[in-house]
Amino acid sequence: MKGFRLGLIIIHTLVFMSLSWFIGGFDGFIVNKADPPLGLSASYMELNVSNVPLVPGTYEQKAEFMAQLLALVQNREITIVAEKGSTGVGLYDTQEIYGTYPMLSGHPLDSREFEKDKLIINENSYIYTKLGDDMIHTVGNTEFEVVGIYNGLHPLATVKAEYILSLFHPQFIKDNYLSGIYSIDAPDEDLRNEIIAFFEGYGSYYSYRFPCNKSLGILFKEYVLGTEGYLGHQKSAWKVVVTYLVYFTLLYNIVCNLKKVAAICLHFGATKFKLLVTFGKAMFFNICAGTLTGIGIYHTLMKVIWGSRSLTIQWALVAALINLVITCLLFTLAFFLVKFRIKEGEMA
Amino acid sequence: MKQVRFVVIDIMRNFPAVVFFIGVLTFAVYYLVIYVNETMLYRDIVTQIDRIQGYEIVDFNVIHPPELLIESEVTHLLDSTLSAENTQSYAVIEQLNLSPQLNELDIPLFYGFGQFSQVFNLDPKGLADSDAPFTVLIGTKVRALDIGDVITIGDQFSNTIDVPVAGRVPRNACFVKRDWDTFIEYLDHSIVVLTSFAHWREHHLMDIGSLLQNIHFINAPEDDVFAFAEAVAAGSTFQLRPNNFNKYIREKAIAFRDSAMRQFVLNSITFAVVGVAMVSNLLMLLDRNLREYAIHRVYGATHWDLYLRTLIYIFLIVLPSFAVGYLRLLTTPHTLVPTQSKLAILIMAVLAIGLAAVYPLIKLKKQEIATDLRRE
Repeated sequence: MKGFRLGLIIIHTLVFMSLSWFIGGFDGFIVNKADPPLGLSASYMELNVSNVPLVPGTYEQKAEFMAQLLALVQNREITIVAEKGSTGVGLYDTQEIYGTYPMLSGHPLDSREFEKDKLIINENSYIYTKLGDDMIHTVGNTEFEVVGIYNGLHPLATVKAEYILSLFHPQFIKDNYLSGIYSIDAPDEDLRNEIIAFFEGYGSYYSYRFPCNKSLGILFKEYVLGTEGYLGHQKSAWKVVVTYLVYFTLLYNIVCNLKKVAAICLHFGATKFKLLVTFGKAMFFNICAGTLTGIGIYHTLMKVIWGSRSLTIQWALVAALINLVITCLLFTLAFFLVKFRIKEGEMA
Repeated sequence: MKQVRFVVIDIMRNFPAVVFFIGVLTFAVYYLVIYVNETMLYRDIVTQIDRIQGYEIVDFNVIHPPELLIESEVTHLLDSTLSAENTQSYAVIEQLNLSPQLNELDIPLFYGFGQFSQVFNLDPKGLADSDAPFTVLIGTKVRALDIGDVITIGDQFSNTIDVPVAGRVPRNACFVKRDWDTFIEYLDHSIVVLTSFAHWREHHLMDIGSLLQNIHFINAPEDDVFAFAEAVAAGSTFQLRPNNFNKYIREKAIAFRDSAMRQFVLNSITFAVVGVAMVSNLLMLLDRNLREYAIHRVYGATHWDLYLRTLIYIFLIVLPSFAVGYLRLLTTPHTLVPTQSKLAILIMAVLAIGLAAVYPLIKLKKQEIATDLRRE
C-alpha cells in the first residue's frame, strides 16, 4: 500500500470537515448557553414564568405577591433582573453587581431605595431622545427622576428595554404581569431553591434552568436533543453518522483492493495483526494530512470567508482525536471483515 | 433493453449495497435540495428587497399593555392613516378565514391597506377600483378560485359582503415583513384583498395591536412618524417605537444568505462523501463483472453497450434520491421554488450521474477485457 493517496486525503478532509462542523456548533453552543448573561456570575439561574394564576391579576394581588417576594429576598445577597416585554426592566441588586459598571452619566440605582421614584435610562432609546433638561421621565402617572444614563457598554443594554427601575416599585408592578423572565443571581443555593419554591407555591407554570456548572455530557445531550425552546441538532448528528457509515464502506473497499497483497503476505507467514499495523501506518499519514487540510478549509470558510466563529485549538484537537479514534476503529473493523483467502478462479 | 436486463441482474447481485446507497443518497439529497433552493431564492429575495429600497420605510415595535384601553381617536387616526388617499403608509395583515366559504377553501388571506399594492407592485394592471370598498386578487397558483368568482368577505361576528375576484397578482408576487421566522411572504397561493382600514373594520372585529404592528410609513418625515406614535400613546395604552424597516430587512436577507450558504456547503460535503463511496462500490462491481463483460464482448457486445449498462446502473441509484428530494421541495408548504432552483437541481442530478460515471467508464475503456479473458 502506497503511503500517499490523494483520493483518500480528499475524502478524509471532507469527513473531518463534517465532524468539525458538528463539534464547532457544540463549541458555540457551550459559549452561548454556559456563559452567564447580563454580567451575572456562575451562581445564576433563569426562571421563565410563563403563566401565573395571578395573570392578569389586580394591582392588589400583584402587589401582595411582590411584597412576599421582597420579604424573601430582602437583606440577602441577590440580584434579580426581571424582563416583562415592556419598556422597563425591573432590577433588585443587593450584590451591587451593576454598581461596578461605568455609567455614561449619573449613578446606578440604589437597591435600598427600591420604592423611590428613580430610574436610569438607556442612551440608545426612544425616550432618551425625548428627555428634557429637568431629567424627569413620566411612566404612567408617576414622575421618575432620571439618576443615570447607561450606554451599550452596560450589560443590561442587551435587554431590549429603554429604562431600568426597581423591581418592587409600585409603578413597575402596576404596568406589568407577574409572568416574565427572571434572571436571578444568588450565591446562596438555599435562597435560589426558596425562590423556586415560592413560585411553585403560587402554582405558576414555569421552567427554570441553571445554565452554568453543567457537565459537558449534559450540555452535549442538550445540544443534540434540544431543550425547551431549543430544537437541538439531531439532523447534524445524523449527517455525521451517515458520513462515517459511508466512510466505512470506502475503507472496506480499500482493504478489499489489498486482498491480493494481503493473501500473499499471509501465505508467506505474516500475521493478520502485523498486516493491520503495516496497512494502518500507511493510512495514518493520509488521515493526518486529511485532518490538517480539513481544519484549514473549515477555518478558512468560517473565519475568513463568513467571518464567524471557528474551532478553538482545544476543540480542533478534540475533533482530530475523535476522528482518529473513529477512523482507526472503522479501519480495524473493515480489515477484520474482509476475507483475505482468494478462492480458485476469483480475480483478486 | 438487453442492457436494462443486465442492470437488473447487477442490482439483484449487489442488492444490499444498492439499497444502502439509494438510502444514504436520498438522505443527503433530501436536505441538500432545500439549501440549493434557498441559495437560489436569495437572488429573488434581493430583487424584492432592492425594489423597496427606493422607499424609506419605518415600522414600529409595539409594546402591548397589561390593561388595554383604546379611545375612538385612535380608530379615526388609523382611518386617515390607512385610507386609499394617504400616500405615506401601508399595512398588511393575515386574516383568519372566518367566513365558511374561505374556511372551506383554506387559502391564506391577506388584507393590504394604503399603499401596500404600490410598494410591492401587486397590481401592475391597475385592477383596483378606487370606488369599490374591496378589490380581491388571487395568487397565480390558486386553482380553487378563478377571475369573476365571488368570495365572501367578513367574519361571522360582523357584516359580510360578496366581492368578485378582479384578477391575479403577478407571478412570484410577495411582500417583506417583520417576523421572527420568515421575513418574506410569497402570494402565489394566497388571496390578497386591497382595501382601506375604514372599509375593513365595517366587516371585521378589530385587533388594533396586530394592526399597529403591521403599519409602515413610507418616505414620511420623521416628525409625522413621531406624531403618529405619540397620538397612539395618547389615545391608547399601546406604546410605539419607530424602527428602520429597510435596515432590518437587509440584515435579515444577509443572515438568510449566510445560513443558506453554510448549510449548502455542509450538505454538499455529506453528498460528496456518499457519491464517492457509491463510485467506489461501483468500481468493485465492475471488477467482479470483468469476466462477464469479456464473454459479452466475445458474443458481439460493443464498448458502448458496456458503457450504457454502467450508466443505467448509476442512473437507477442516483435518480430516486433526486426525485424524492425534488418532490419534498415541491410539497413543502409556503416555499417558493424558482425556476433557477429547478434548473440547479436538474443540473446537479445530471452532473452527479456524469461525474459518478466518468471514472468507471475510463476504467472500462482502459481495461483490456479480451486479455483478461485469455488470462482467465
